[in-house]
Amino acid sequence: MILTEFDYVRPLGLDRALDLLAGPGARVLAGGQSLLPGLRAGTERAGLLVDVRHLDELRGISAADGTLRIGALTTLAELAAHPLVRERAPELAAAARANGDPQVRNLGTAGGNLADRGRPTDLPVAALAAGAEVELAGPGGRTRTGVEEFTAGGVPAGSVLTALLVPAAGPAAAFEKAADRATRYPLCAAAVRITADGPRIAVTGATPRALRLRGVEDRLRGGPYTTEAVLAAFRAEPRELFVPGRGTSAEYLGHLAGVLTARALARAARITA
Amino acid sequence: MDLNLNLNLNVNGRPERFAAQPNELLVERLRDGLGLTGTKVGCDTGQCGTCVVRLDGRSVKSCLVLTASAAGSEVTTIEGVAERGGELTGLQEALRQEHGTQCGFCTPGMVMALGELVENTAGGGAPTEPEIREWLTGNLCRCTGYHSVVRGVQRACAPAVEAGAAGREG
Ligand code: FES
Ligand code: FES
Repeated sequence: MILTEFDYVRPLGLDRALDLLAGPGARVLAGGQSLLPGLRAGTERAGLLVDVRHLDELRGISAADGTLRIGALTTLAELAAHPLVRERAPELAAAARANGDPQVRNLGTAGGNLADRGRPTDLPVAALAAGAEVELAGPGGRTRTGVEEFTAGGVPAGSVLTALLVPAAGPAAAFEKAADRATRYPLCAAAVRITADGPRIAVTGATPRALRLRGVEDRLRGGPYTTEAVLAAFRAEPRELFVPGRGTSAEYLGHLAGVLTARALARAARITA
Repeated sequence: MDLNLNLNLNVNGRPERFAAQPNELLVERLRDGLGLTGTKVGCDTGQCGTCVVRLDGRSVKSCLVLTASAAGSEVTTIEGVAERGGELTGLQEALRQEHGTQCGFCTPGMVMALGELVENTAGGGAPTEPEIREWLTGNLCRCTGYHSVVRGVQRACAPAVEAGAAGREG
């Protein structure tokens, strides 16, 4: 039962949704898989829910000019199963698959997972490793922002995340996760993509938010991606990078992040070879 | 402010019209509004899966859906799976034969969740055991230990081997 009161509107188009979101206390409702538990627990508030779940303009997956365009309402289940995503952004498909359970994946959306400001979620690391951008619609029109900047700032007030734009790659990308048993949220998750310029590596859960670890990338450039080398590259990071909590120490989380990254790199490198 | 919304929903093939508050959850409409108490509430936090129903064909947790957001959709609950007083579906019968239910509290949610898996793989080869177990991530059962549920799904997906498996003890 949700005890807090709010109003509900289902706009017929994105423009109307943006008008409604300009009002005080208005929030976007899409899949609702983290917003509704948050409203029930009192960790989230809303005066008005603007339900965008039925807007076709936020749906669909397409590929053009080497970029995958993934509509924000794409469900995690669709993302995990889509042949184009599995082939060209395998770290993203794997991250979507690692999320929650089948029922949460059936309603939870790519946009909601990326925009979640609560607990760490799985898609942001994959999007960071992929070098993706998000497309936002706001009062001033549509803009594009790199995922790195987006994960730091979130969706600006009054805006809607409309799509994720992912550079298509070969299969040399992978995602690994250690899930919290009860909630399936990542204790730590890592995503990697091996590019011509070296590896791109992102970690969440162990860190305050999803982060690209450029120091680790630099230390590993040129390889080899042996477990020893990856763990050493993580040990060289400042200890404050890893946030202890939930019964874990910074040392443990740093080690876990290294182990998951080593596994992901080993898998991605095997595919390139 | 009058917060009542006039909504319609198709539930188990029947059109329903009603007024609801914006913060009403689908599981509350089903159980309290429509008297369909086969759908259970085990946790109310989205973790146990006893409230699973099908929403436009997909299995979802009805405690994680607003009634207002579901309006206009088709909902199937456990009451709509087999005809009242009629025969069980193949999945239900297979779960019964493999002792995949004990106290039964989780069973409606299990049947609604597993129904999607069985339908998805119908004609495309039976799901593997890891696939079945992964599919059960969102359904908690405190009685069966899951093995018998997994066997039930395997039986439901492989009618051809049923004759051979029928003699096995659970
Ligand atoms: S009551 Fe919905 S998941 Fe437990
Ligand atoms: S049969 Fe009792 S909880 Fe599953």
